[in-house]
This record gives sequence, structure tokens and C-alpha cells, in this order.
Amino acid sequence: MDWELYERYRSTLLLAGILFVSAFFLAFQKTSSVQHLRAFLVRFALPPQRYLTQLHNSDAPAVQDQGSAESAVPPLASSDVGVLGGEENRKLQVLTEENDRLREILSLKREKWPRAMVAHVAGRDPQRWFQELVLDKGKEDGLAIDDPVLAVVGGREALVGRVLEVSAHVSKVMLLQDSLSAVAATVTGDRGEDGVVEGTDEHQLLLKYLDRGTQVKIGDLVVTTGLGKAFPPGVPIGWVVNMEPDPRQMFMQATLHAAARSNELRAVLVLGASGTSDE
Amino acid sequence: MKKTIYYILTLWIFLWLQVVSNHFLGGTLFSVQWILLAVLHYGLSSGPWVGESFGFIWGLLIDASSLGLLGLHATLFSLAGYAAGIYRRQLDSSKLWTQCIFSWMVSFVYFALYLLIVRFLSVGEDPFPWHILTVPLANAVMAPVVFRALQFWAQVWDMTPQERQS
Repeated sequence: MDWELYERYRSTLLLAGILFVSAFFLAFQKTSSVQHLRAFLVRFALPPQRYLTQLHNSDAPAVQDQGSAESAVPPLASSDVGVLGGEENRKLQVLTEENDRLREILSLKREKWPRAMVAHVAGRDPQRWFQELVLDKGKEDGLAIDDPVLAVVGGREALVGRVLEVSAHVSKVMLLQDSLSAVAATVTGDRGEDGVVEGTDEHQLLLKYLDRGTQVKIGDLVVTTGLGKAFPPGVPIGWVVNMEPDPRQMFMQATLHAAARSNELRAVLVLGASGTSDE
Repeated sequence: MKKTIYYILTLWIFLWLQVVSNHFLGGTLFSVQWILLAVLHYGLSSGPWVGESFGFIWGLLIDASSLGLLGLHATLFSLAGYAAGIYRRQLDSSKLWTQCIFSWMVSFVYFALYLLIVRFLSVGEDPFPWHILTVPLANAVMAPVVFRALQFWAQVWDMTPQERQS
């Protein structure tokens, strides 16, 4: 009789157990046991993402950290692309673009942040597309929480966000577009007005708390101030594309076109604690 | 042994499918949730026990791969598998429209719960999540394809769904 009862409610009991375990995980995210379980599961879940990233990077050599990386990315003449057939042409074109991108990153790393680390985007969660991304480097590679993350756009660095969580071999980055992100920023030029750049959970950013009589105009570049030492100063965040009073009519706020489009990120530079002081 | 390999391969293939899909369609409003559809299929064809077990494992793997809240997808997928298993006797899952409408409804509830939990556990004001309307539609459209593919996959392995009492 008891056995029949068990058989009858077995799936309900299993569900109750699952809900209990899940609630435990949700409530104790930061405990070491849950972190260890996560690290264990990542080993199973990450290979597809890593493979996709490599596939996206086509035949480009994997970027190592130090000097060998530069020799691994030889320059590729764009004229070579034209003499090949369809499929090869396409692959070569992708390779050329990837090559250029990596050379840009490595060049910037060599010139400005020699101790920075190059990491590839290993995954994105569609439900948190504008909030976070996952990198293929973690604590054992030298990454730490709050490390600034930069991308290279047109030969110049652009702020992407900061490291939010690190596990052994992967880390999570909070993007500037996250509505919880706030960065001290200033408008370049003579005006030099300071404000705070906040995310909107969409492509654009908001530069808040500008004076109502602000001289900021559309097209102005907004960069980090370096206040609080969270980010190095002078890193581009975005360009002003619109100005309007904030909802409470107390300040002006500027809508920014982000310098680093979160949809186009493949490889990024992570500045360690030492990286920010290398300038 | 054969059964174990079948289950492990199924878990692995759909994890890959979801990751690949997220990689290419994640930024759009029409990214299909293949794993949710597979969980519904197993719930409807094999009962709540199999549905919620698959849902829990897949959910944990998805949570781990995105470094999101560990346990969030595990909870929601398990609930979806359980719901599918509970309603399997009331629904004729071989009918196309049943697959579509049931997938749409569960996807919608899944998203509503997802947003509720995320909003409860975080702060800040989010814009209206339009994907709550579009992704369930994409799921509904793709549900017959997934259901048919999984039936075929089970036939290849000679795995007939086993009903379990609940």
C-alpha cells in the first residue's frame, strides 16, 4: 500500500526535491559548495561555446598572452583575397578581419597596457544580452572581480564593462549597457563636464546629471574620468546622439551611442589591477 | 546501457543546439528555446518523472554555461516538464495544433516566471521585455519540428516512451 502511494506521488516528490535543491542553489549562490558545483558543470557546458567562438574566429590562431601572440598573427595582404574562389575567399576574408582585429588589440596592449590580458567572448545569455557576457579566461588566468574590460574599435580602446564574477577558467562581465552599471564619465573638449554613464538594458547608454545649462552637444565624445580608480581615465565610452531633460526635469541627460557595440564583441582586453596603472 | 547512452546523447545534442542557436540568434527577438521544447516533448511522451529530470539537468547546464543564477532555469524547466507530464493524459500530443498551443502557453508562463524571479532577485527598472511575446511564438512554430525529430531519434534508438504513474 505504501509502495503504491510512493509510486503514485513519485514525480511530485521528485519535483519537490528539485525545487528544494534549486532554491538552495539560488539562495546560496556565493557559497563555496555552489561555486564548486558551478565550476564542475561549466566543464560540461562550456565546450560548445568555446568551439563556437573558435569557429567564429575561423582559422585565426588562438591568441596567447605575451609576445608570442604578435608573431602568431602575421599581416595578411588584402590583395590576396581576390585571387581565390568563393568558399576560400570568404574564409580568407573572415581571417583577414579577425587578423586585423587581433592585431589592433595586441598593438594597443603593447603600447598602453602591456600587462593586460586578451580574452575571447565564450558565451552570451539571450535573456541577458545587454547585461552580461562570458569570457574564456578566469581566476587561474589572472582575472579578478572588478577588472575593467575594453574592446578595440578602429584602433582605439573602448570601454565594455567590468568583471563581475570569476571562476577557475571563465568569468562573467557586466556590460555598460546593464541598467545596474554606472561609470563616472566626462565629456571631452573644453567643456569637460562630468556625469555618470548608466546602462538602459538596450544598445544606448545615458549620461546623467548634466547641468541644465550644459554646453554638451551632439557628437561629443564621452570618456571615463578615472575617479574611484575603477576604470583608467580617458577610455572612450560613447558619443552623444541626443540631449533631453531627465524625467524629473532637474538635470539634463545625454543619450550615448556606445563606442563598443556589445553585439560586435569577439575578443577583449581585460586590465588587471596592475593594468590600470600602466598608462 | 543503451538507454543511458541515448539519454546522455540527447542531453548533449540539445545543449549544443541551444548554445549554437543562442550564439547566432540570441540578440534577436526570435531565438527558439530548443531545450524547453525537448523537455515538453519528454514530459508529454514519457510522463512527469522523465520531463522534470531532463528539465533539471538541462536547466543546471544552461545556468552554468551562462554563469547566471544557478538553479533558475533548473527550476523553470523542471516545472515545465512536470506540467507537461501531468497534462499528458488530457492532451493528444501527436496533434500539431496541440504541440503548438501547449508549447506557446508553457513558454509564455516560463517567461513570465523567469522575469518575475529575475526582477525579484535584482534591482533597477528594465524596459518592457518584448521577447516575452515573440519567443513563445517562435517556440510554438518550431514545436512540431522538435517533437517529430525527437520521435524519430527515439525510433532510431528503439526507445519507446514508457509511461509512468504519477
